[in-house]
Amino acid sequence: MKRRSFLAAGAALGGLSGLGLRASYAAATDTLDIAVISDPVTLDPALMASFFEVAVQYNIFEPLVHVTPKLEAQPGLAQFKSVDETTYVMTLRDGLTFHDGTPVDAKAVKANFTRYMDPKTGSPRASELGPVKSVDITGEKEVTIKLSAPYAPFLQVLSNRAGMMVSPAAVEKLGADFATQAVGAGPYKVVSWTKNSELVLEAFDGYWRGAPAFKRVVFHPIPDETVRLNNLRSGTVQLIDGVAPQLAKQVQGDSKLTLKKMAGLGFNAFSFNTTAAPFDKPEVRRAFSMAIDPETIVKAAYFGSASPAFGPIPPSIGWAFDAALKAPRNDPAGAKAALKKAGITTPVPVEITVTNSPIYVRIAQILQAQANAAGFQVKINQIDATSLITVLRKRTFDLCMSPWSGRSDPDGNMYNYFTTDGPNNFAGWKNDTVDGLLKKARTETDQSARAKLYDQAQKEIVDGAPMLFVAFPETLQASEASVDWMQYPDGALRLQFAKPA
Amino acid sequence: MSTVAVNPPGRLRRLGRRPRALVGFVLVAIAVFAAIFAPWLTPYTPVQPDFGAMLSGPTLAHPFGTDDLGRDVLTRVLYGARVSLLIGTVSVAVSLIGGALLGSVAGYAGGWVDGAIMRAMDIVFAFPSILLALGITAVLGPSLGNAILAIAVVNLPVFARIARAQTLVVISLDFVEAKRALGFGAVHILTRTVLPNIATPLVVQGSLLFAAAIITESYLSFLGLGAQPPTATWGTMLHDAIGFLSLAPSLAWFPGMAIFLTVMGFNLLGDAMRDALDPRSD
Repeated sequence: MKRRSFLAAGAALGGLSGLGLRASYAAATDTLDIAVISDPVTLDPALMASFFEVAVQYNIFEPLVHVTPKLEAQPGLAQFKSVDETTYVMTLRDGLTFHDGTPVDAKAVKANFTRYMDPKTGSPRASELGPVKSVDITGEKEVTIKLSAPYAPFLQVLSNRAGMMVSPAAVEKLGADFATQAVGAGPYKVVSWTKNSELVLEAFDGYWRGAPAFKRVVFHPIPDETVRLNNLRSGTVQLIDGVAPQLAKQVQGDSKLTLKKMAGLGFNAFSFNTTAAPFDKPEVRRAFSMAIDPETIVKAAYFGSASPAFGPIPPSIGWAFDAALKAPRNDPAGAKAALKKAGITTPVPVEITVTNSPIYVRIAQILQAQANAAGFQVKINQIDATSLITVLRKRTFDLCMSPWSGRSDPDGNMYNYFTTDGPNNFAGWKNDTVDGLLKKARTETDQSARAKLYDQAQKEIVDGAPMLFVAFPETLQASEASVDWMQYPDGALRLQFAKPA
Repeated sequence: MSTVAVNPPGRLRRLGRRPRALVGFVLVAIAVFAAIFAPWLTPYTPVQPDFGAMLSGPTLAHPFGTDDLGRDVLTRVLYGARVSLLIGTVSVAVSLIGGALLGSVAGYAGGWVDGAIMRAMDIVFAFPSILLALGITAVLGPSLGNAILAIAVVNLPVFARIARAQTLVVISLDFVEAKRALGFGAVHILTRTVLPNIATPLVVQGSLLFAAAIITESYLSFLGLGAQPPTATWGTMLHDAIGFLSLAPSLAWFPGMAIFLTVMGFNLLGDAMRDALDPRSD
C-alpha cells in the first residue's frame, strides 16, 4: 500500500519522476528504489575514481571476470584461461551484445583495453593494467593478453572497473556525454540520470544471465544516514546502502526489514603528512598511534560493526590477512614517554582533518581525547566531502582521514597507498623496502609466498607508521524484507541477483 | 512625533511589575547563572569522553544522560550557555556599535554619504539572513569567531536603519540646531548629542536580536559551520543528536529546550523593555 501511494504520487508529479502515468500499479513490484550515500561522479568506468560509483557500477557494466561474494574469480563476459604466468586467453560468451545492440566481440574488448591504457584517456585503469604488454585478437570471440611480467592480481583487476566492457561505438558517438549516458553490457541500461536526484536504470533484455527480475531500478542519493533509513522505513525506497552502525540493532529488530552485514574489504585509516612537521618524524607518528585505542573506536564509533585494524589488509581477504600483526596501542603514558625520549616539546599541536559526516567527527573526537592525553594538542578541522580529495592530494593536512573501500586483492589495498609513486600515497611516504616488496608481490604468483611478502610489507608499514589504521568496517546495508538480494563485501550492488522474495 | 526617547527612572521599575517580563528575566538569569558558574555546577568537563558510559539515559550521576561519546549532557548544556551568551553578546555588541555609527553618520551627513551607506546596508539586508550567514562562514571557514562575525554582519543593517531614522529625528530638534549654531563640530554633535539620544531603541532592538543571534548560531553549528567539536554548544549538540534520535531522543531534547527557553527569555524581556521604554506607550 505504501509503495502504491508513492507511485501514485510520482505519477501525479507527471514526467518529473520519469514514472509517467503509464506506470501502472502492476508495475509497482517491478521497480526497486535504492538510497545510496552519494551520486556517482561519472558513469564511465575509464574515469571512475571514487567510492561513490561502487554501488551502481556493476549494474550497468559487466566485467570480463565475475567474483563471488567470497571473492572467487568466475567467468563473467568471458571464460579465462592462463596459458602461462604471463599469457591469458579470454573467450567471450556467444551472442553477447552491448545495450546499444552492437556485439561484444574480440574487437570491442581490444578497443576497451586500448582506451583504458591510452594516456590520453587519463584513466586510473592504466596503472591497474600496468603490466599488460599486448592485447591480440586471436579469434572472433577470443583475445590473448600478454603481460610483461607475472601479475598476480590480474583476474581480480579484470573483475573490477578495468574489466568492464563499454560499447566502443557509443564511446565514439557520445563523446564526453558517455560519462552520463554510459552504454555497457551489464544487467541494466541507463534510462536517465538527473544529477543529485536520481539515476534510472531499466532491465536489459539481452543480458547474458537473462533479464533481471526488477524491471526498473532507481538510485536516489541521500547523504544523511538517518534520512536514508527513514526513507526505507517509510517505504519510499526498498534498499539502502550505508546503514549507520548505531542503528543496525534497531533495523535487525524490525521484522519488516532485513539487515545484511559482512566484513568489508576496505579499511578506515588516517594518513600522516610525513612531509611536514610534526609528523615528518617517525617517532612522533608512532607516539601518536601509540596513544590511540582502536578498540574504543570500534566500540564508540562503530558500535561493534567493525574490527580493529593495525594494517591495510582486512580479515576478509583471509589468505593474506595477518592475525598476528600488532602495534603498540592504547598507551598514552608510553606515547608521552616516547615523545620525551625523542626530544619533542609537548604539547605538540596537530590538526585532524575529517569530512563533516557524523561518524568521522565522532572518530576525530575520540582521537583527539586520546592523543591529548599523550601530550598532543589536537584541533579538529571539518571539511565537506568533495574537498577531501583535494586536501589529500595537496597534502594540506597534518593527519587526514583516508578511508579505502578496498579491493578483493591485497595489492589493491597496498600498492596505491604505500609505493612512493602510488596515487594514494597521501602521506608522501618513501620506503624502498616496501616499494620492493609490493612490486615483488605483484609478480609472485604463489599465494603463500605472496602472503609472506605482504606480511613483511605490513610490518615495515607498522614501523614507519605513514598511516594510522583504526578499523576494518563491516558493510552494513538494509532492505525491505520483501526484497531478496545478494550482498558483497565491498558494498557493490549486483542487482541481477535481486528479486522480489 | 518629535519626542526624544529619554529614560525616566520610573519606566525601568515598571518592568518588574509585568509578569511576562518577570518570566523573561528569570529565564535569562538562569542562562547567565549557568554560563558563569558552569564549572562549579558540575563535576564533569564538557569535552572529556567516557567510553565506559556512552548513551546512558538519565541517571542519578548524569541527570540528563550521556551522549554518544559518554559526555555528560547536563554539563554540555551548562557550558553551551556560555557559548550562546558569548555569541549573543559579542555579535549584538558589534552590530549595534557598527550599526549605530554607520546609521548616525548616514543620517547626519545626508547626501551621497547617506546614499552609499544605506544602499550598502540594503544590499546586506536583501539577502535572506541565514543564507548570508552561511555564505560568510563557508567562505571564512567554520569557527566560533567567524560565526559571531557572520551574525554581526547579518544584523548590521537593522541597527543602521534604526540609528539613521532616529538620527534624522534628533538632528531636526532645536537643541541640535543650537549646538550647530554655537559652532560645535560634527563629531562632537554626533557623539555627545545624537548617539545618547538614539540609544534606547537600539538597546531594545539589541535584546530582541540577541535571541535571534542564539538561534542563528544554532543553525550554523547544526550545519557544522559554527563552533567546532568538541566545543559544547547547543547547536552542535543538536547536530550530534540526529544520528541517535531514535535511540536516545533526550540527546536532542535537552539542548533543544535550552535554546527554546533562553530565546523565549530574551524575547519576553525585549518585548517588555520595548513596552516600558517606548515613550509612545504612555
